[in-house]
Amino acid sequence: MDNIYTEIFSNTWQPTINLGDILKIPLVIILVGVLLYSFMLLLKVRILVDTINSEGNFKMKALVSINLFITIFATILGTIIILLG
Amino acid sequence: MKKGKQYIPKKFAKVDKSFINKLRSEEEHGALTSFSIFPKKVTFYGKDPAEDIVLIVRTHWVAFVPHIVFVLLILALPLIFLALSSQVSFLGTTTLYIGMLVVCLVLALNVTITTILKWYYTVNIVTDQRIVVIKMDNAFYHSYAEAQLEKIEDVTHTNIGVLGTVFDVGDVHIDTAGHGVDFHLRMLPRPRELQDVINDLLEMKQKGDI
Repeated sequence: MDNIYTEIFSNTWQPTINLGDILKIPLVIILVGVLLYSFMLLLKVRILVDTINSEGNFKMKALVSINLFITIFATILGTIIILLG
Repeated sequence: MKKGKQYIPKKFAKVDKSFINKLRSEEEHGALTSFSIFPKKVTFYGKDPAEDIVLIVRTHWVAFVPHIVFVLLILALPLIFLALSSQVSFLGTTTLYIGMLVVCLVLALNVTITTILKWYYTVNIVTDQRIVVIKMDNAFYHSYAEAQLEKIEDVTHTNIGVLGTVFDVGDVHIDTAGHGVDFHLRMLPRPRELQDVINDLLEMKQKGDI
């Protein structure tokens, strides 16, 4: 009888803290936030290009567009890796 | 009036002021410079056709060193976790920290792009009519302020600290009449030259030369 009790209580679930599981949701939220931010950056540059017109504007527009594409790709990739991890 | 690579508008060609002579000798053109004199292909919202841009000044790169350090810290964080994850059990799987590395790379990229845009679009324009200060902080904030030259009462510059001395950067404070906008332009290259340009323009404006 004592053996059965010991066996039952030794196999009960014990909570363990895993930092990895806690980090998953904040990391996905950060990724989505950065994606929205990079889109806002594109819109901001569209306004600023209208405010000050200079030779470098094309470079800046290209820079934020490339940034948005990289961010979209990295958000998808990052979310998959984080959820699998 | 054009002299080789130099370009000085007609109304300034015969002006005998220290800033024109200084500008002639140290002219530095280009789209991506911090101190651009008589820029040719630059206009701004509300610029009059007869108005000439004398000077465009952007913040010195040394002001963005904290941003560079911040980016390096963002990049270092996941690498530390990645190295520790195989040794410390409660940190979880290595795969998650590869994901964290992707997050930090995207974050660092966006901070870098924001810093470049902040440098490029935080611009102080001195024309023969007014001073225009365009400021961009991030994707959610930018401002546009201007003051007519007639409204400017006092211009001072300060050069403080080690960075100021080593890189020749400083702040320029432009005091305007009444309760209008006062400009406090921070971390500018060659602040005394900007002060000299504004003071000479004020003098020319008062005499009716421009």
